[in-house]
Amino acid sequence: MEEPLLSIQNLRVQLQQNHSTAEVIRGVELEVNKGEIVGLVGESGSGKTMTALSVLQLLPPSLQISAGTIKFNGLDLLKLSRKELQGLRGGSVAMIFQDPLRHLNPVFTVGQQLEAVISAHSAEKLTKKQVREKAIELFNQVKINDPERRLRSYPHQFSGGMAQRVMIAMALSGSPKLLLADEPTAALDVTVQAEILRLLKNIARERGMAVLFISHNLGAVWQLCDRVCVMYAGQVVETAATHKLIEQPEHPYTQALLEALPRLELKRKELASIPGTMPGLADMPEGCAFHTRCAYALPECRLAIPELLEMGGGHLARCIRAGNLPQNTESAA
Amino acid sequence: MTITAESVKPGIPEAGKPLIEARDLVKRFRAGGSFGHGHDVIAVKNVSLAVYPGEAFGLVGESGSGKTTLGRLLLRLEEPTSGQILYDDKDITHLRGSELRQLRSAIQIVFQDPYQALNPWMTIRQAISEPLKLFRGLKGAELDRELANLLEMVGLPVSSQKRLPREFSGGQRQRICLARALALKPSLLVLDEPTSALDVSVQAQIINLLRELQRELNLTYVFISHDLAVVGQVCDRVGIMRYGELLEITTRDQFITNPANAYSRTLRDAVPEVGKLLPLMQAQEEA
Amino acid sequence: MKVLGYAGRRLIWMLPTLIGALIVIFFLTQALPGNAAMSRVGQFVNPETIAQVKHNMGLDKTVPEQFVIYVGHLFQGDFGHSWKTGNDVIIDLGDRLPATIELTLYTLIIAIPLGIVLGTLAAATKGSWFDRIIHTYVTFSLGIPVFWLSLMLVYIFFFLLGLVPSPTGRLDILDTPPPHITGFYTLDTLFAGDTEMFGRAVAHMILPVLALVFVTSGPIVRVTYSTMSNQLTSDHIRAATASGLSRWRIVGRYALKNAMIPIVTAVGLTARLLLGGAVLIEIVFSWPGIGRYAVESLLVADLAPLQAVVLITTILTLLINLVVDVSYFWFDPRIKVA
Repeated sequence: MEEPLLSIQNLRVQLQQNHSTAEVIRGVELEVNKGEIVGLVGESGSGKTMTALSVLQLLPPSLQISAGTIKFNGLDLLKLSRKELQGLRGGSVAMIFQDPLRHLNPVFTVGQQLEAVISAHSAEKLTKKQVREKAIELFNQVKINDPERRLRSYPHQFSGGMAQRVMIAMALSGSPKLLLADEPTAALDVTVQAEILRLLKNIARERGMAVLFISHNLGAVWQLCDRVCVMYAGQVVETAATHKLIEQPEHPYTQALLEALPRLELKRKELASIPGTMPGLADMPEGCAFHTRCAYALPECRLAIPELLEMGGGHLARCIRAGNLPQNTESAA
Repeated sequence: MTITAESVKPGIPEAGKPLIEARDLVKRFRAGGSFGHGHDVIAVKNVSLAVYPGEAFGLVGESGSGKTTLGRLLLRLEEPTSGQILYDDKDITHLRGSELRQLRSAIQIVFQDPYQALNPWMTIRQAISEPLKLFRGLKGAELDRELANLLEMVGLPVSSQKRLPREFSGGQRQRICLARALALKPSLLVLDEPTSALDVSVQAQIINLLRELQRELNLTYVFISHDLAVVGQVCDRVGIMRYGELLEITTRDQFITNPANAYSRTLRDAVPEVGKLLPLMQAQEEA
Repeated sequence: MKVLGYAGRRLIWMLPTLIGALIVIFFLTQALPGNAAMSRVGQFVNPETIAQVKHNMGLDKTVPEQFVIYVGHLFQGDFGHSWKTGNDVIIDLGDRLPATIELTLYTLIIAIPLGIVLGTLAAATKGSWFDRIIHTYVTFSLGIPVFWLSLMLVYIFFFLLGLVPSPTGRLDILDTPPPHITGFYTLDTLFAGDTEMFGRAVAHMILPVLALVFVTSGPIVRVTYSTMSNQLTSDHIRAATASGLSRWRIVGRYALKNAMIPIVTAVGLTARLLLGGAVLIEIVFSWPGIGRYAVESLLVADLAPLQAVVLITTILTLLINLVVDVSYFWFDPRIKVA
């Protein structure tokens, strides 16, 4: 069994706010193997974006990594020097973001921005012509037509989908082994979304590139990912191969999430909503974070935070009743 | 939830006749430039549709399709460049002043972003009682009763009224917006992406609530959304828009199984669904 | 090309603005208390003489008549005559305007980069001791009156330490100015090949420029700090950091270009204030600039110089505004000519 490409162990992140600290990431365990596409799913406040930002240490100043290790190819990322970290970013590990138009610099052309990144990551010094050629090649890879003209354009002249392709091109310029994709399709139209998902999948497969795909959209995760991790209230609560997670979720939250999902199907049903809301930092319950909303809660759930239980075949679930929940998702309690 | 006889609006137009109708609506915006240098954006191009009482009509499309503009036209938040809008057989296309204000008690809206739709300095009580006072002239004990009724209808505790919007989550704020819209006892509710800013589990709560309210208050919905799965769960008929044109109107079942229009099919196929493989798509023409 | 058209249109629109300004200037100065004729010849003169002087000065005509005559003269390049200095105003301006502009230019050349660099560094190292020092600097810059500062500087560096020459204006008392080419003594002395006098011209500028730089850099630092702080937390900067670009490039190029519009606006404001004539500085250092010229004329109701100075500063203000506005097109490609 090969070492995982990315290994996050017991990651804890704290938020500094008005002289008080609160834990927003409370012990995340996550692995991504070489060439694997892993989905990181959760609702807002679950900590999924922060987990991804922690990898490249892009957290805003009010958030600090307080514990844990993040290993990439054996390298402990939290111990890197500033220079080494800079080399890693956009190099072996690249990141794309949600709402691409906000993530491109509005006062420079797309070509200037792409070429800056290409030059930054090339091993030898390239001539202007070589850099330009590489930029055009990247644009072709992400299927942007008329690349020369597009390179001279400014971000505001692009649609959301095109801008995301530009970001992907920039991310690919350093030939990354791991791509962190933070909700790359959330701000896009559904037809454009489908194209971008397809593009990501093809590129990942062609290059043998691993992807950590952060999303709240389970449908997109199904289509793109080999494996899925579900996050709730700053922790991973379940991880499994995609089809296994969908067919046989072992954590009550995952189950409830799947049941709450409206489907484009003929049957109209009362959507099983989850009562209450995800706890905020201030009112985190004792023990299992989900038990206050859980249909299967027992008094024991309050005693301690459950460990991730091995269900077999790499399927883990953070619930003391995992493996013993009724699988008939029509009737919850 | 308490439904009193009063909470069902008297004088609902008879079924069979459209509640609201758009005839050949056009909305043109002038973009850019003073001194007549600007160019036109035609947001809504010759759209005709009819929504019948008691139904939930979905308006779907991608960005730039014109669905939001059309929704605003139906509400008369905008005046059309040409064409007609009829509400209960009355021509409301060019209403002004007090007549337009009266229309407001018949047609209401719930917006997409619950974080922006509520005045952060007004308590919930102030936000909801404003329309009650201004349009229905309620005060005192009567006002209190109706306020409590509305909050209960949307599933919020009566004690919420003293609190400010920032103390509530997105889903709860959306409920407040609903209560505010319902305060005027409208017959028609235009919902502009009401669940797009919400998480999946909260979205489910709001969808269930919307369906329940429609049943019990006999409301008519115009439900604008880009999320086809949500529209599929809430609506009876669906209008598909693209680049300002209404391409087709079809029943919800028809849309899910076999839409006639090629774009409708593309749209439906593109929705990422658990259990559905990635569609085989070539790079489409960019908008 | 479109930008040139825009600039051209703006220049044409300057004309009506100037005429409006002129009307206001003219009529306001007429409304000033004091009898111009009397200040010229004194009070203890009989009324006939005053009437005669008034007639000579053209003050017995109606105000609109005087205005028309005045504008007519302007088009011929005749700004009138200062009875106080005895020169045609245009001659006076030829000396005084370059004095003020020279001071302004050197101040700006130093204060602008200084302000931008300090503001940027403070924003980039937010929370550090450096950041705190810069904040203190800004507080003093905004708070210390330039008049007091100038006096202090003179006291310390001239009186106590003897490091700079006495504040006797642009050159030493016994110096005769170099032949007038640009009016800038630092340049004209070099053109005349007189390096010693060049040294003295520079030495006389040290303290006034220092004082001005100190008080004008504060607002520039502040604006830079605030916009750069915003920029550095923006999404596109985060994405640039994630793509592994160097911090220098991100801060100094990517963030800074986005921040330039508010900065340039603040710089324009500063330039306008400086060109208006930093009167207090001119008084402390005996600097023969247009600020003092205007005030001294005002005090004796010598109207022609006053009108001329206000006119000149109006023109300069409009030009600075135009330059600032046109620069917006360069900094932000999203801004298009209407």
